[in-house]
Amino acid sequence: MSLSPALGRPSSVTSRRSSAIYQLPPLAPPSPPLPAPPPTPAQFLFFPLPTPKAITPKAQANAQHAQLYLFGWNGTHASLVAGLLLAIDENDAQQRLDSTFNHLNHHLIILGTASTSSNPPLDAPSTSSPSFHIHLSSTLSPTLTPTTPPTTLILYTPPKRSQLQFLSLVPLQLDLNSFDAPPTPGSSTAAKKAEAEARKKRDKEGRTEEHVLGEKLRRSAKLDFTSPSNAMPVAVADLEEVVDWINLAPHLTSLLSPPSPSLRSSISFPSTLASILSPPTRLVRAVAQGILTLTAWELPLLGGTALKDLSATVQQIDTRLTQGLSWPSQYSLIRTTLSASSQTSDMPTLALGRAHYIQFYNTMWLIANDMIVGSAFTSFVCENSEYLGGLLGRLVQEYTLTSLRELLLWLNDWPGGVKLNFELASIFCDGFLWGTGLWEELIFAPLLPFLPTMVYLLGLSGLLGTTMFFSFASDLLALLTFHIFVFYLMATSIFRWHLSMLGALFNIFRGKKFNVLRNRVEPAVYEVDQLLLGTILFTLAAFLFPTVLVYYLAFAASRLGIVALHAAMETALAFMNHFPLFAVMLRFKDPARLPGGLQFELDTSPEEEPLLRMTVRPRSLALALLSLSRFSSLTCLPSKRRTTPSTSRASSSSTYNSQDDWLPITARSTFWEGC
Amino acid sequence: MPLFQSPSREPYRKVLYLRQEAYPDNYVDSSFLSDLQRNVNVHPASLPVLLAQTLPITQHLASTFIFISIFIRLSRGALDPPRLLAFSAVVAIICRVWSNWISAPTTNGGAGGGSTGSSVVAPLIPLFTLYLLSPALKTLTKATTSDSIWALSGTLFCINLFLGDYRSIPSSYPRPLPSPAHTTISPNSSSPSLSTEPSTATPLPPAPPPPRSKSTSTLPLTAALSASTVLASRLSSNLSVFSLLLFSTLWFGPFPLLRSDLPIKPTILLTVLLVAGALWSLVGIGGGAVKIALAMLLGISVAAPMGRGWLMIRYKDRVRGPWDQAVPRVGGGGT
Repeated sequence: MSLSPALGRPSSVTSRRSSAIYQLPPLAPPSPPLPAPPPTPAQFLFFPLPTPKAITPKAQANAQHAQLYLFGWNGTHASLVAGLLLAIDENDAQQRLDSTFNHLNHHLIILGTASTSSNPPLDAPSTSSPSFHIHLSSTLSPTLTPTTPPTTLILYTPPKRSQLQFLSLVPLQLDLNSFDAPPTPGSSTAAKKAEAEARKKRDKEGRTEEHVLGEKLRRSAKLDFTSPSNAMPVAVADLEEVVDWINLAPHLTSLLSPPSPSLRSSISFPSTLASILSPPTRLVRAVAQGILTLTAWELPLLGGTALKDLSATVQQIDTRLTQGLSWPSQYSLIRTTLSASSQTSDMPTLALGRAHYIQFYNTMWLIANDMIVGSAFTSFVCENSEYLGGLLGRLVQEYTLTSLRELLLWLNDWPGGVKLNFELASIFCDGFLWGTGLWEELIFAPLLPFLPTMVYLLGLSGLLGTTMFFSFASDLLALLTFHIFVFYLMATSIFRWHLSMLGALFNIFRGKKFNVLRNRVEPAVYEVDQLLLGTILFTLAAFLFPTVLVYYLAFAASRLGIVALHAAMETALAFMNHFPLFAVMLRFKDPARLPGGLQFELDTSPEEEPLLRMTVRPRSLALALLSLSRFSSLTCLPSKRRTTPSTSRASSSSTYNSQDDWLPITARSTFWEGC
Repeated sequence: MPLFQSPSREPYRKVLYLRQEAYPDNYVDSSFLSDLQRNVNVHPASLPVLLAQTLPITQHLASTFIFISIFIRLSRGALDPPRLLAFSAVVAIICRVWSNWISAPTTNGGAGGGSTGSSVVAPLIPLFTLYLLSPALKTLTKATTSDSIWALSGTLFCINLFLGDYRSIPSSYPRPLPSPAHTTISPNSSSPSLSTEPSTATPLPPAPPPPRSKSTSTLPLTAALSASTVLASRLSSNLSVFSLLLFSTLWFGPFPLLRSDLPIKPTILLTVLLVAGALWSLVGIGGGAVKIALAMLLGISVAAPMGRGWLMIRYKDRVRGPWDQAVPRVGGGGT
């Protein structure tokens, strides 16, 4: 976007990257077309608006003759002023820059001069090639003396490194799983290759729908020309460079100035890494890893279901242990990334460091919350364990046993006016009633007096956290309604068998058969006796179908109710485990720590020329909550997660374990999956 | 039209490339519409042919009536199941003998005759299965009211009647040449269908005709079997259920196949027998069944062919001009 017409500067500015640059219509009345000037690269000058203090030399002998010099970087399209330097003349300033940054790979040069009300400009012209002059004043915004290739002044707010602020062109990815290929626009070929490789790897591993969705969103966001992030006045490659410089600038200016004691990281890291790896800790780590392998061990009997898929408690233990195991490495990573002496300033590394920081403290906060609320639950439940135990016993008896019997007897006798086959219905009814009686006699009756004790134990588990409480409750519910689960399995398998038989017999009725090789239905020749048998069986199956259907529906509905309870508990668990508290808090407290891109605002005030201001656009809140939904079971019906062995448990997987294959969308199976 | 005709005027020629000044543009000649042909390709079928071709339909309808009357008597208790079983055994033996007689001469259709022969014998396995299933079948529709059962079985019998295979080859009658485009897949009834054996224009000797290819649609047979199953579930004893089902298997399976292969004289004889049997068996039922059955049978066998022939003669009016008509080719790819 060529903004010079808007700023009243006569120019026609074009750029080579025309795709990202728009031409504003000229505001002046149409004049006769001027001859097109030769294309000159537009110059943008970035200037920090809370201007950092001018760096004064130790020797203050010639303070009165000193002049303010701008120093910074010079790029193809844009230059950045990192700070102000007080020096006698330009050579002195350049020497000071070189002496400090000689051993580093940063090419800081003198960009021009500055003047304030107290430091009027001297007459010595600057010999540096891009020579700018900026006049600062305390009341108005800085003004730039116009230069011959017309330059636009853009103001930016320098990020406070000590408070972990930084600028980024892309929204900060808080999800640590997707950090292998950060989508940087206009990245170099090496980065693009790395990104392509990472994407291929993800493809091979089987993309989840979440990834696909995220990529689609990213692609469409790139093509959306109406979004503010896609309309940048500067060519994109340059802006990346400029942002890198901006992130680096505070650190370098601190190197230039005499060392001050205040430049210390505000975060104190009390322990060192060595203490973490002491032998008792190593033993604990080994035990934890042993338990983790045990929970992930796939039971051979149940067709490969891992232990943690069966029980919520085991899943929760698994989550906590994984989180705990990752803390030491995460902690050391944070320390190295955020230490004040860090030299890295490129966006991916910075972003990674910040994301880890946020994730780490988020986990800490959540666990603390967990423990506090859990102890409240514990005290309540343990005090009232007798009453709650009795209540639970009565509830279970009423809903799982008595209601089940009533349901079965109702189904036996023309339920709702639907005429069922009496013989078959009575077979079902008697069978399930016998099963219920067996369950009640063998398991429930001995358990009933122990229910208060079990409730007490449940309450005790709350000491380990609310999540453990809910996991125990979920497991307890599963155990108490186990007989309904078994009945549901039987009804489902009978129904499935009946349906397939009906389909096959209908094919015989029509004189066709299913060709498995070609996967289609085609005409077939049958003998008369085959036809006879097939037809008679078809009539039989068709008339018995309503009975089987009714029993299946009854058990499926009750199973649905139980699964809804499980889902509610798992939602609570997901909230407890993965709510992005830290990110939400940061969003409100200090948005600059969660950068979500850059935006340019036009500052117009009546007495000044309009100026561009570049600010950080904070990351949207919706993105934070989107990451939560990935871990919750809100996107899937967990009804089949316990029965189909192929899906692993989606909820409560650790945020840090990237080899967890959670399949929240594919686990969204309905009851018909059982057929 | 000119008010007078000059004698020197040339005769009007109905061509477009001549400019005929003497006549106006909208001149209508007296030879207008004289080239039209009426009913050129329509050959009214002769009544005997039609009557012969409706014989299978009449037979089938009559046999359906017989079956229904047997069921009614069974359900009323007027017929003993053992007697029905004996009758079924007789029918089975007759079918067996008949099929053996058909497949005995080794003509070019011997293999086909053998297969039709083997298909008419009811092997033992379905027999035992039927016997075992009869208790289950007896209580199958206990919950359904009788009205829905009658409606259901009536629908299924209608499917059986409408989709039945009514092709017949009365071999003492000169057969028309088979058309090359006809296939055997569609079991259409009441249309003068043609056979599909290799085209032999000479009339066959009155030996048993080579059996034609089997119809691939089993829906009429299965519909009839379903209807009989549904009806059988209304009966009160296991033995009656079993006997009815066995009888229906023989009556709707091999019997129609066998009787469709007869020459003309036995066909007429069989038709008369069946119609008589139907009417006689319906006498005891009451409720105007005989009258209804008689009306239907007469309508199918006599009135329908006559109507068709008469309607064709009187109302068929296909007018066509002297040009070549374009014959649409359906479903052919390419030029």
